[in-house]
Parts: sequence; structure tokens; C-alpha cells
Amino acid sequence: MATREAGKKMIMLKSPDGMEFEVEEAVAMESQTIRKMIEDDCADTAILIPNINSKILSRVIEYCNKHVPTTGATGAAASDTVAPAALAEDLKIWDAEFIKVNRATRFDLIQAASYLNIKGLLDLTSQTTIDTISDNSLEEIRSFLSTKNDYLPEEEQTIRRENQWAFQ
Amino acid sequence: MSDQEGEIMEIDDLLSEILLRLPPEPCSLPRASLVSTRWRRLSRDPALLRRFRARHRRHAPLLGAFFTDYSASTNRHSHISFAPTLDPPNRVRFSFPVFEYPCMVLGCRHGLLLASFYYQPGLLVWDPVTGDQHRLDHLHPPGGFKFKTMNGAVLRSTQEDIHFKVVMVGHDEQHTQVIASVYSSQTREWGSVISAPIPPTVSVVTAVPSVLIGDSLYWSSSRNPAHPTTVLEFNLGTKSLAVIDVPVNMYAHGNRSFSVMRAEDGGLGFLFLSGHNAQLWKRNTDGDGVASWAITKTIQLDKLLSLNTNTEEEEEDEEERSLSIEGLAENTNVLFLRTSIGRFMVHLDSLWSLRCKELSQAGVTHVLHPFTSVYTAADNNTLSPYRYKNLSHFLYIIG
Repeated sequence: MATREAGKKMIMLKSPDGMEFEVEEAVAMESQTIRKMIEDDCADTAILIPNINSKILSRVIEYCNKHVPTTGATGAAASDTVAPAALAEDLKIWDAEFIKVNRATRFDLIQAASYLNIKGLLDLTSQTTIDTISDNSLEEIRSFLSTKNDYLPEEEQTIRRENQWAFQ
Repeated sequence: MSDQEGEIMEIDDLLSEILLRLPPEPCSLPRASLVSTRWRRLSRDPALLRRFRARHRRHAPLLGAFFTDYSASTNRHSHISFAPTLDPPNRVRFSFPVFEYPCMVLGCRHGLLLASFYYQPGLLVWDPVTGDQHRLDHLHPPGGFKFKTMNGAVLRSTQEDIHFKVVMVGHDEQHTQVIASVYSSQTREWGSVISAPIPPTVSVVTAVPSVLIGDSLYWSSSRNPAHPTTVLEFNLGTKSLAVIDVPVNMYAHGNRSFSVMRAEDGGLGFLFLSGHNAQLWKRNTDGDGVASWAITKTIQLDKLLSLNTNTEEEEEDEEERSLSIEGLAENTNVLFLRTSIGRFMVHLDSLWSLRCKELSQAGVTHVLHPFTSVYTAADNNTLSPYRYKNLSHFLYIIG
């Protein structure tokens, strides 16, 4: 691996549709998948990110940029002047704006967060789906997620009976 | 758009990530399992369940509290009762074991309940979720030591451990020494007996639940208002017993007015009801090892719970008498409080409070043993579903 003497080390991320994104190594390493590649020295000059198109990848990078810990040369000023609680609050507001996307994009982001193993992004993107599962009837969950009920009627009845308390 | 969502949710790993993030309440996974057969398969997958437990272990919901119900018929009933504190659909109930003799709850921890029997020796360790029972003989200390009173505690070394330990403490008839020993379910034997001299003013009280703080178990250990209040400490690491003095003579205020608790810094703390207030105390040790107590917080319970606090002296006396501590969840510092207007749970750190409907009907004051975690058993053998016949609805949560 190259030395860090020049300051911030940059990494090239490539989407399958041919777009290239130059990002700081620290930002890319918000993804545990990419971190492992870099630490194992598997990362060449550019890392191809399969299955994630440029539109989604750019959003993921935007998220990582915002969430990378502010301890480096660029972040020092911010953390010196802003209290941690205020930073956390700022991030929360930013996250709420970030996730104002349509459902298809949100699912693409869940998939990307899962593949790239970015815990915070996965928590954020899956929250709406989790709320849907937690707060709605089975029929509404199936409809929201386009999932077909493939239980035999008697099978479903048995499971309902066994777990009657959970459907009160 | 919905077509694409359906397609994406067909990736098992993604759906697993979503299921993993469902809230820790008991009904989460059973409900999800009814969406489709695929959801059921994924929500019962041992790998997912392990991750689900690990993720929620620190925030496992308080399911309710066990207590010894003396009003139950002695012929048929174990005397163990459970008051659920969650609302439906998370309101769980347990099937109780039936014994020839009634038993008394000594403590709950790490998903297990410890009880002793009336009219016969021996202890019971019961897993309310699996229904598993372990009977163990009382400790028979050498040298003709005879217990006058005893108390006990159950725990696991780690929450992942399938084995458990039982700690038994008691003092002798002459009231000169207190002894303790640790039973291990792995060796099925009691360990060596540890003893310590005690002043005659200290006694082990059977009906007081233990509180685990760090590596030590604590019991309030004096019940006589004429004597100073003390705490008995058993250190599990060093296997040593100690008697710790408490700042106020708390029994003078009634024997349900205080409890050992975990202080905010994780050390030994004490909760004390004084009038309409709850005082939180903390034990500090200075560089020379000299301990002192300090009040860290005072909570105005009358304001918090909107208690009717009439200023007339007679009424106030009545109010004070009716405030009593019934239990404390040691890992979350949730206090079970009885007041003149009903039972409440009070979270001592965040100060949220909630009325316990289920318990409010009970007339007498109970000693409550909060039951928090179902995310304990982790051994692969215990993940097989048929073991959970006692509580079929936990099939999905435990395995």
C-alpha cells in the first residue's frame, strides 16, 4: 500500500456502468467490505463495486462523506468548535433529509448498504420497512413488500393458534 | 415500483437484515413469520436468532415480574406467580410447574428463577421460557453449621453461558457468622464454604432479592429498626464476604423503603424513600480505600407520579406509609413502586414512569423479581424448537 505522507490517501471506486469516483480512503473505509479489501491489500488502483449503479453509489459516498469520523485534518476544526451532542443532532437532521427518497431508491440503498456492510446506512435505510412490519397488519406488510402469502390455510391457522397472543 | 420492492426483498440476506432490526419485543419475529413461508424460514434461522439475541441483549424488554403469591392454594399451586408488564400483543404468560410442596421465589437473573421449597429442603432453578427445571440439594456446610436463615441468588457467568451458578448465603443459629457457597450446574456440586464473622445486629433476610453489581452480589441484611442498616456483599471473583454500613438507618422508615441499586457510575448505590422523595445514594471509595456515602439525586415521586399529597399531617402519614418499594430491575434500574393510587414502574435514570395495570389489582405488597431477558440461552442444542414446549410463542425468539 502507498504511504500516507502526502496526507489524505485517495481510492478510486468504479460502478458497473463505468463511472469512477475518487474518494478519501477514510471515507471508503466506512464500508467494512471495502475496509477489508484495503486491509488485505486486495485493493488495486480502483475497486469495482458490482451491482451498485452510479446513481446509488454516489448517494452511498455522500452518506460516507458525512459520516466519516471528524478526526482528520479537515475535521479537527469542526470538532473543536462544535459539541458532540450538536454534531449528533446535525447528523440526525442530515440523515432525515438524506432518506427522503422514493421506495425503489430506498431498497437499492438497503441492498448497497448490505453489500458494502455500512451499518449506519443499513439501519437508516431499513427503518421505514421495519416500521411497516412492526405497525401494520399482515395484509398491509404483504402488500407493501409485494410478498405473496404462500401458506396453506390450515398451516396458517396452526401457526396463528400457536402464537395467538402475538396477534391480539 | 412495488414489483421492484418485491424483487429486492426476495434476496434472503436483505430480508434477514430487516428482520434482525425488528424491535426486541416478544411478538416481533412470530408476527413476521406469518407473512410467508419464506419469512418463517428466515425468522427461525439459528444464525439470525443468534444475531437477534446479540443485538438486543442489552435492551431486552422487561417482560414482567415474578413473585411468591401467598394467596394461592397450597395444594395445587407452586406459589409462583407472574405479573406481565407489557401490553398485548407482547403480554406473555408462563405455564408454572406443579410441585408437591409450595415454593418461595428467591431471585431471578439471566432468564432463570431460583426458588426454595416450604416443608422440604432443596432448591429449584427454573427456566420459565423453556420450562427446564433443575433441583439441587441444599448446601450442607461442614462442622455442624445450622442455618437460621438463608437467601440465594442465581446467575450465569455470561449471558451466553448455558450453565448457571447458585449462590447461597445464610447465618447460623448463634448469630456469630455468615457463610456462603457457590453451586455450579457444570460440576453439579457446591464449592468450598466461605465464612465471615458478623456482629449480632446483622442478619440474612430471606425475602430480600439480591442485586448484582459488577462482580458482587448484595443483599440488604438487617431487619431490625433498632440496628443500623447493613448490606451483605459476596464477591464472586475473590469469593469473599463483607458487611457494608449504609448511611441512614433505613429500617426506621419501614422495611420496604430502600433497596441496593447500581449507581450511575456502575458502583454500589442505594435507593431510599424519604417522605415523597426517593434519594439515590452512591458509595465512594477514596485513594486510601476509605468509603463514604453521598446523595447523588433526589426524585420527587409525588410530582412525577401525580400523587395526591395533602399537606395535612394525618394524610401525609398515610401517603408515606403507602409508598413502598416492591422490586428493582437491576440491569435497567426500573423501580416497582406501590403508592396509594396504584403500582408504578419508574425508570430511575430517565425518570419515565408507567402504571402497572396488572399489579394494581393486587392488594398486598409483594416482593417482585423483575424478569427481563429471554435472550440468554445460546447453545446450539438449546436452539432446537421442541425444547420450548412450555412457551410455544417463544419458539421463534429462542429457536
